[in-house]
Amino acid sequence: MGPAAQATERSEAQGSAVGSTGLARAIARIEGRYGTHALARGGASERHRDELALPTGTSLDLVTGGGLAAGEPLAFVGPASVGKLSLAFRVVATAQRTGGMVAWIDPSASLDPLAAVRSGVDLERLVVVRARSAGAAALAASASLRSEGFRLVVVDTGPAFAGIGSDELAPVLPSVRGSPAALLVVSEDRGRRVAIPTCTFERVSWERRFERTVGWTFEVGGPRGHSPLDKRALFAVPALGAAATDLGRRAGLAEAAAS
Amino acid sequence: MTGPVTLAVVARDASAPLHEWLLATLRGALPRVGVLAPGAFACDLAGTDRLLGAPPVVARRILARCERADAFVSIGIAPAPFVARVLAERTPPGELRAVSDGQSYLAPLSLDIVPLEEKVRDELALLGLRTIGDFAALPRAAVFDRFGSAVARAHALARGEYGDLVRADAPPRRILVRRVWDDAIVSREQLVFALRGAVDEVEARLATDGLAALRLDLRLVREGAAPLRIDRTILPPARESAALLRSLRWALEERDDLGHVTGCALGVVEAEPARGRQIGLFAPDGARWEEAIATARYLRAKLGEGVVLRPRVVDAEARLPERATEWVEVTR
Amino acid sequence: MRLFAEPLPARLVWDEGDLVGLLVAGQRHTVVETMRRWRVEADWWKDGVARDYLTLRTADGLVCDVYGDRRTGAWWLQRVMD
Repeated sequence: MGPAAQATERSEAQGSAVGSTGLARAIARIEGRYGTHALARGGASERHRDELALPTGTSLDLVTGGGLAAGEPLAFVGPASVGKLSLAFRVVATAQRTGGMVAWIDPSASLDPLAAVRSGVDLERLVVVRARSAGAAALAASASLRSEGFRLVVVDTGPAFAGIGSDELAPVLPSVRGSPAALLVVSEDRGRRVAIPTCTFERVSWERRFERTVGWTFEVGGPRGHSPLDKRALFAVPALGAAATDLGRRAGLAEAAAS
Repeated sequence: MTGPVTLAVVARDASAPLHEWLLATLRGALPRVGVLAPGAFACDLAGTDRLLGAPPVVARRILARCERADAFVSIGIAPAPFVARVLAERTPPGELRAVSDGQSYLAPLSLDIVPLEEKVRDELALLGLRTIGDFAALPRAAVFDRFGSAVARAHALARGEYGDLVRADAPPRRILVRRVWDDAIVSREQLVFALRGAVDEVEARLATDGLAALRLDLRLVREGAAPLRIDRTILPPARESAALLRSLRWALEERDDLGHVTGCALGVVEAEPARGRQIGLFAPDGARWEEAIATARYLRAKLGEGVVLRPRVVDAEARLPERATEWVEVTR
Repeated sequence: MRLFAEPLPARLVWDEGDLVGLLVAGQRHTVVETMRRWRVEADWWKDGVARDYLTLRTADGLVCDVYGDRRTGAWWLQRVMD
């Protein structure tokens, strides 16, 4: 790079936001303290188990308290087509990033490998188990958790019309504690007999363009008590089949202005 | 630059053949290449530092390769693709520029650059917001509530953000092969012939580790003269000895006087996983990988065939969705 | 996104030319919008595959791809966005 180009680059890099109001600057400072990047650098992590947690580097970490943890279960619950799988794939990619293997229990045999790859999943480090019955799924999940070979075990119970119920996973829970893997259950229903910390997914709005729906946004709320701020993470699915993009924390403007 | 890094390559007024050539060249050299527009590409370099070198090094290699083919491209390096592209578009052909703080770089630039609907742009102008920095300073939640998700995404771009995941590649194992010759070698042909054995050994080591060489370093020990160092970039990365030897031959032909060569040290400086299936020999969790496979085999015994599978993408563009992937039994 | 290894049998419900309902696994979903439609033809040199695809959005928030096999007339649910 020639000296002239270097000088230009330096002066442009020094450019700072112009025209900010005092309020906007204060809000930006708050966002800086609690926003996604701070968490990704581990600055505001609420859990002190860096090697055992799976932070995705997105706003989801705010909601899960720093990421899924080894030896603990977590559920993603929400209606069909809201975006649970897109974020589940993110968690898979996180687990694989440091070399970990992931077991994906798939009773409805509906894992889409292309969608997984688009969200960062490494297919080489994924074992898919098409265990069709609830019993087989529970067996596969328990075996994977006990084996010490996986960093993450995902049980995708499937859509309501073609899957198993969350309650059928009760036999799996004793295998979670003490496992080096985290357990992620993706489901449309919460289950009545099984008590797993749950992140709830809710659609916020459909994205329309020229009178056609092209995508949507959804928010994820954390398990009560795990996320002191109890704020929701916001994501957008910009186009059909695209991976979810992180929109950050959906903080109310009133809350920010009050700080 | 740690963390996410994108290298954007822009060729102004690129013809279709140039676009195809650039795409093939970039895909041959880099793991993740996306097309932004005719002649414009975004390459995700996250986690490739150890394999390919620092991003500016990668960029200079690409510039040199393009120059040799009479193609003058501009390269921008930034943490996010949008910033990298904007940077590349403002860089003269044949040059590269890098910024580490995307938001600061974008701040003074006009809001025209950010993808926004006209009426949103007009409304922002009415509020006195004309630069990207003005827009970026707004609180994210306020932008979302007022304008919706599409503008919130543009807002994220304005802040130099990029939501996607970083993927790290496995590190290479050092490959170095030495030879010593009792009788000094004086002719180029003789030297190329003598190097064959060393190159074959390099190929074997690359094959064992599932790698393809991206950069070779050849050091020739000479009688009465300083060692001669030759640095070759292999594009696309290869492990076949014929390809490696050919590259070394071209390098030797560029030199008039090789002197009296009595030995050599041939090393693979940079490598990347060879395309196709890779057994995770360098996975940090190598032992766990074996455990996982053992569990898969156990489940296969219990649940039968066709249950414990690994998917492989065979045709990402397949129009029949079921043909995009094949599923194989997990046996290892 | 889900891609069913075995697509589920589906039935479409029409009312005066408009698609109003989707029946899958014994459940009826009210169709609110047909988001996309396209045709795929493959293997024309053999017996061939000919499908009409639709991306549907239902009142309960389901976004899915169904296809009609032009040779048999049967409809199948193949993908569900998630």
